[in-house]
Amino acid sequence: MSIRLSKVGFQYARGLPWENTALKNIDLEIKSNEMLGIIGPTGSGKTTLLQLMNGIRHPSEGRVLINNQDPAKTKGREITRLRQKVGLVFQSPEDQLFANSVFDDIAFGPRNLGFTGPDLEERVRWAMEALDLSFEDFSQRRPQNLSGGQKRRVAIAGILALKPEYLILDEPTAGLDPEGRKGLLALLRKLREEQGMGVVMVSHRLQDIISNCDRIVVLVGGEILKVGTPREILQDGEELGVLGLALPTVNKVLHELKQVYPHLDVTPVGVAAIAEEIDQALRNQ
Amino acid sequence: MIEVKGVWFNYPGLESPVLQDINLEIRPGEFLALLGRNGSGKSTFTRLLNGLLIPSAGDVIVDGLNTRDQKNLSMLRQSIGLLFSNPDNQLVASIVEEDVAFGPENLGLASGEIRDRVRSALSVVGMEEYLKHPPHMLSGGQKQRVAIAGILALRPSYMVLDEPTSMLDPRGRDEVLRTLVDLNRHQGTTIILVTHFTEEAAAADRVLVLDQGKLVMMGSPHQVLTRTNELHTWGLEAPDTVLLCEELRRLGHDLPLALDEAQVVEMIKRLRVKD
Repeated sequence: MSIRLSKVGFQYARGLPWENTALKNIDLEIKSNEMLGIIGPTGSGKTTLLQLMNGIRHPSEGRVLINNQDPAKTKGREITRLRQKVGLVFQSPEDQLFANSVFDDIAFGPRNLGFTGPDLEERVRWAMEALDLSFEDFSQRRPQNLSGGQKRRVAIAGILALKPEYLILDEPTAGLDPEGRKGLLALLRKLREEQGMGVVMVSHRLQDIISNCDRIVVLVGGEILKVGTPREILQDGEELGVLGLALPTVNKVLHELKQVYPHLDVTPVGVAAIAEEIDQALRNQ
Repeated sequence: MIEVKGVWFNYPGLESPVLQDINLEIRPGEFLALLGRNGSGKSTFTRLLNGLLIPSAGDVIVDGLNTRDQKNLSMLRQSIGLLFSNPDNQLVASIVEEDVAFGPENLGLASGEIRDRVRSALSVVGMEEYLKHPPHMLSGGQKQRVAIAGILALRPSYMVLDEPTSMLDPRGRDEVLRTLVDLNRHQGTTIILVTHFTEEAAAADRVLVLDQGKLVMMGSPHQVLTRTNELHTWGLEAPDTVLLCEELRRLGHDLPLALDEAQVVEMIKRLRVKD
């Protein structure tokens, strides 16, 4: 089961004087039970790519298959069912909160799918617990009165309540403080581990992506520049810098130290692993 | 100078105070960073500085003007600029030039004066070439710089920024921070930067930490940002450079805690010689 993009291209305003190619020649597969990170400078086509993944947009060239079904060729109830499989969380999802209670906001989707009564409550409760929002404490609260981080979790719960197989998030931690960020990333990992979801995360924050994703796609000018594991991506520090993507400071330190320690591995992820690497180099002089 | 004297603040209808007994003097020409987790009261604090909110108790006095006095508000708002985190919420006109001119126009200045101020403000933030561009086509960092120019056109003495980089990508963040440091060092503008990113606070002269509405720490960036455990209890993360030095110490190496990346590299290279 996967979302597969084959030779996908996309142009805005096709045939018009201001036609703009947003994506070119994209070959990508998103598997369930995987956390995929997409990183790229502003204008690289990330948002367009996300919209193609759940069939909100159709490609100009190539094909998108969601669990072997082509959303461009699917209509009626079938397309609704297909779209349900891919939950798309836009940036600042809390801007989408509209109801008077957390319960009603999260219940909106399931209600539209025909859920009522105890089934509805169970679905809302499940989604809330999955996002670490206690049903008892939060269901009757007004979304407007919650903290930014809490609002964000309510918004994501609303999408999760549709039980998608894949969850795609555009800058999920933007605007959150360090605790909020850590909490949300841990929840995303849990969703992937416990629910077997395929999670796709677009982020500017390379630190978040390398510490949480199995695979990383680097998107530049609408094309895939590179796909690799976090360590493979960290290997090319300078390249990333040129693209306007910030290498984590501590990895930059490793790149600097490589002048003195040519055999230094510049790819460890996280402060502890990097300290280990430096420690080894110091002891092996 | 901004004097914050015994300030308490409650939002109407909510029992617990969002700010408790804040006492602070902000000196002209300072670069002050205010750190705190979401909910610590830091955004509320920014709105008390320019009179958008009035303290429930205590006073905020800017260059001798008390924010409680309605008569002072017009002066105050020219003297203190306030920048928010979402660039899209702050730009109103269809071209950059008109957006930056908005403030001066409302002051009833002569058109020659307005033109000069607009150009000079845009030049300070490095956006002069975008004079006739539509704001919505700019990147996040560029939009924030235009918003800053809009404030600069009013020639404020103080600039308060509420998490100005939280919605920006690394390049945008860099641009905005460099603009602020530049403003402070070369134009003498007092900068009050509210953020939850400890790395941004490293550029400041003084760092304050707010936790649950109280000022819990004040000091130089080095004094504050190396207290990793305390920062953690306040919902903040020490800069990675500090954490790296700590980790290396735990592994048996003797080096001081440093904020600056170049310093850390230097110190590790020196360890090599010592060991």
